[in-house]
Amino acid sequence: MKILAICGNGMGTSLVIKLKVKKFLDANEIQAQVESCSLAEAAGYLATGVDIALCSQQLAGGISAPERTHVIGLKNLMDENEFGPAMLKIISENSLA
Amino acid sequence: MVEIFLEFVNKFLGRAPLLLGTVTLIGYLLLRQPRKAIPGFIKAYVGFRILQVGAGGLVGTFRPIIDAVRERFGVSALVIDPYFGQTSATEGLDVFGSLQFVGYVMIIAFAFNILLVALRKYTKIRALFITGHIMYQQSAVLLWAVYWVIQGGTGQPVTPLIWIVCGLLIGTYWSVASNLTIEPTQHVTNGAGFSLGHQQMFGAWFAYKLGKAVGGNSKSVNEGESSGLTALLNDNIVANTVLMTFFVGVIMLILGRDTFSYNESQYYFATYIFETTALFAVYIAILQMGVRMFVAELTASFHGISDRVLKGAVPAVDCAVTFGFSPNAPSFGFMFGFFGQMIAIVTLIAVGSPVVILAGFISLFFDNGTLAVYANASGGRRAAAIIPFVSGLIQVFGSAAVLTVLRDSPNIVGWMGMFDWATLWSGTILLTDVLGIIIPILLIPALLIIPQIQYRRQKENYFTTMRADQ
Repeated sequence: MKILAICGNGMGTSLVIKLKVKKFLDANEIQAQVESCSLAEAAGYLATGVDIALCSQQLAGGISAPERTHVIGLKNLMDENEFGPAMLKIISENSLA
Repeated sequence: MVEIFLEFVNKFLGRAPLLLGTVTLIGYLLLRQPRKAIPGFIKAYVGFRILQVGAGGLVGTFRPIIDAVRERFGVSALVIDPYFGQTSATEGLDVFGSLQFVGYVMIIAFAFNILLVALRKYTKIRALFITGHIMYQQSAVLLWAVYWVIQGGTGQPVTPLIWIVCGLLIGTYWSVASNLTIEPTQHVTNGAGFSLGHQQMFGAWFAYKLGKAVGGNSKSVNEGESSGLTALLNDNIVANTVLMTFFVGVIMLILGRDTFSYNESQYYFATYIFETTALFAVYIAILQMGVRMFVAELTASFHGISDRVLKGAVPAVDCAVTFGFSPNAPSFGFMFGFFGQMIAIVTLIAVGSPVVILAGFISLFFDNGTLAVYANASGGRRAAAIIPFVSGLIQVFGSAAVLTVLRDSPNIVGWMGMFDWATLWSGTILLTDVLGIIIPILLIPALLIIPQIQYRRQKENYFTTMRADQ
């Protein structure tokens, strides 16, 4: 499974999301490849086949993702109680893990 | 023996990319992740070299234009943007064989931040700065500016006194300023448990504290439709290109086509202007790619260290993380900050200032956007308009002031321009220019008083606002 964290610059925010997501997945013993990038690069990454993309709510609308990618728009990017359940739901519904 | 050591310092620790690679390697070994150590070293090294390509390109594109303006009008036209500030710093320090000291400054600063949090019983510092790209930028810019005003004429490398003082000072700033914004950030984010680790912590604090008085009880900017502007501005390749084409394009038009030697069979003057100014977005993108690569490694180790040794410290993170909690505020701040900057720039030109400022995208959006988020939280939309507007004026005037003493530094293309850098740091550098190294030294204890005052005001719950998992 491939997960992508996206933010405007791809510098600070998406990196923090990536680290948080990795920690969360490790704790739940889920195997995944987690990457981070900027909005400008997102299209390129998404074309390589991403299962879950995480970003802020404002950016979520502007991301044109292929059908297989589930985009999660977050309010609090730092909160695993927000992205955690959303990710687990997508993973179990699509049997990704 | 001493000679072998000095040679090692010269050929290894004196090479900035090798030094940062080694820091990453040691970081991973300390985190007991030996398998990541060598890849980490390589990525940090390659990332740093990519960053240098971007910085070199930025200087190579912009210097001829700056030189032409100075020759023709006698004024320095410089950009206020963190990447232009960082490039001035690293390309300037490199001329004096001193780029590696940026790494020393950053390591001392991070270690000092950890120490201050570890001794929080006495220091009252609760926040740890983990925003890697900002840490690199600020270490570089402070070291360069202090070096230039003290040692600039000598051509000698940075002295140990200067890099040690700069390291301790910037570490104090990270600790104190991000600690100061814990409570305002808790309010803005409904208790998300992080603080601001960026370029405008004092600015955000002022915006929050003054918001009530300035805004009264005006409605929040978030009541009402989103303009969609925030999402557009978040794509900074487009925003950078548009802004640079406008500002630098105007300058190129004023200089006239005869100033530039380009092949007229290949370009119209208009397309030549666009293709030249678009190079800024190209080089900034390269620079960011490099920073991202080496900072990704560093941030991972910073994160590991903070999780391991400092349970309960509040992480201070990128300002953009707050934007999600106040979706309309950033574009609001951008617009009013833009008006402020434009008025200030026209004023500089009208009064015949020796330094003219070109607006940079990151200061406009991320800086004033952040101030708008904090001002809106306490004072609503009126505060979110007025405070970024005033901030726009301050960013330009404060930066122009400090650039009057820095503008002769080799390869200079600009200054940071973010709120704290147009106020606190601009003032510090101007005073250091007159009074010397004593100013940065005295600033360290002066800043450390701030958390003591904070503690005195809210003793009961001062440490309980820290992360719940303490």
